[in-house]
Amino acid sequence: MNKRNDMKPSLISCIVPVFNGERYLRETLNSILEQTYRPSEIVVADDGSTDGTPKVVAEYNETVSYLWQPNAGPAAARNLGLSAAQGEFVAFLDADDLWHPEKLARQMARFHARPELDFCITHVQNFWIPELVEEKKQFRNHRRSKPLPGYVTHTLLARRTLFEKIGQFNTALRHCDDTEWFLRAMEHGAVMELLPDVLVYRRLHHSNLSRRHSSASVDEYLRFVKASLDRRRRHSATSSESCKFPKSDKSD
Amino acid sequence: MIKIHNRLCPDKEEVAAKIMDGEAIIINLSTGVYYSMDNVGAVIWEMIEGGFNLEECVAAILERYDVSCKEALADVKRLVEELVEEKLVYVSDQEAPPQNKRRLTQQQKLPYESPKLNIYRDMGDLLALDPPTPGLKEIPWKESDDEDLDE
Repeated sequence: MNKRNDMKPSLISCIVPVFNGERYLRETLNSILEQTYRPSEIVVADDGSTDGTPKVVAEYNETVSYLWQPNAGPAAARNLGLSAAQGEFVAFLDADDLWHPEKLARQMARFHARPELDFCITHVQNFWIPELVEEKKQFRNHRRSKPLPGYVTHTLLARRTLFEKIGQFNTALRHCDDTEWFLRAMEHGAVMELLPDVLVYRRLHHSNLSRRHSSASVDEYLRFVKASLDRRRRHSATSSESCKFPKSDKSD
Repeated sequence: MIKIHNRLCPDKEEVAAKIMDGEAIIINLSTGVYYSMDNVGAVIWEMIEGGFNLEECVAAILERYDVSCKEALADVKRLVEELVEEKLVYVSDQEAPPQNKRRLTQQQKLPYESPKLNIYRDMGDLLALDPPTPGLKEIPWKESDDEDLDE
């Protein structure tokens, strides 16, 4: 990892999609500002918040850019941020989650070591807010309490050109838009690397999107898997190739 | 050992399932492993979700399909054992309550094909991280508690 000193600074745009996220937004923005590899810009993409989100962003003056749109879902908010991003690379962090201070540095080291890389993700660790201590106990020995391979946008650092190649996030999906994007990237043969390091901390709290839309998202999830399966079966009927996912040694 | 009168229950805490285009798609949300069953398999899954016991499943298969009792019983037992092994279904010790079995109006029985559970473990890492979480109940949000915590 000594290569960090030899690195030329690359332009990284950090996109923070947010909907009524005033409670944790400061912590999230601070964890970006505390990166040892500083991004060139931070863009908050506000998905129609009605709380004090704009006021929190205003505290950061010109350090953080602010975009607003009527509520249209997390995929649309990420796309809003993407449309404004100027960086050669883009990273995303939801407005309630945190990065390890070396998250961007360790990922950029991989891009310098492997110029062919299209995107890099890391492992992620869930953590529960203190009020949900009982739920934390319930999941003590569960997979959700362990470091997990982070196929979520919070861990993603990608070349911006990859989005031009495979498209942005699917705004028709309210829950699994990131999973669908990763699958699309793999189907397009994008070169990826999953770091074994836990560099993202995902906060589980009262109003996580997956919790708020649980029954609706189950249905979306099943439809997404069925569509993917149908596509793969059609593909395997005409080709011997299939997209491969790297196996994680930390997942179980 | 699964008995003929045991009630079969899908694990609703960790398993999501839906029948689409005659195919049952089942996901173990904890592992990200997903499954598919079509034709007879999808019908059996529908019956399991409806709370049928093993005997009732077999009886319904015999009503609908051109198959011997022996073959249907062997297939249903094998499939249920697989579903239990994959932790998609558990077997209750209690006897099943009486079911309102749907009577079929068809005169001709459908051709039978042994049910098969297709297992896909290729996207486990991708699907297991951020699944919807039916085990986590909606927690009422109280603004007053929230404000207290910020202090």
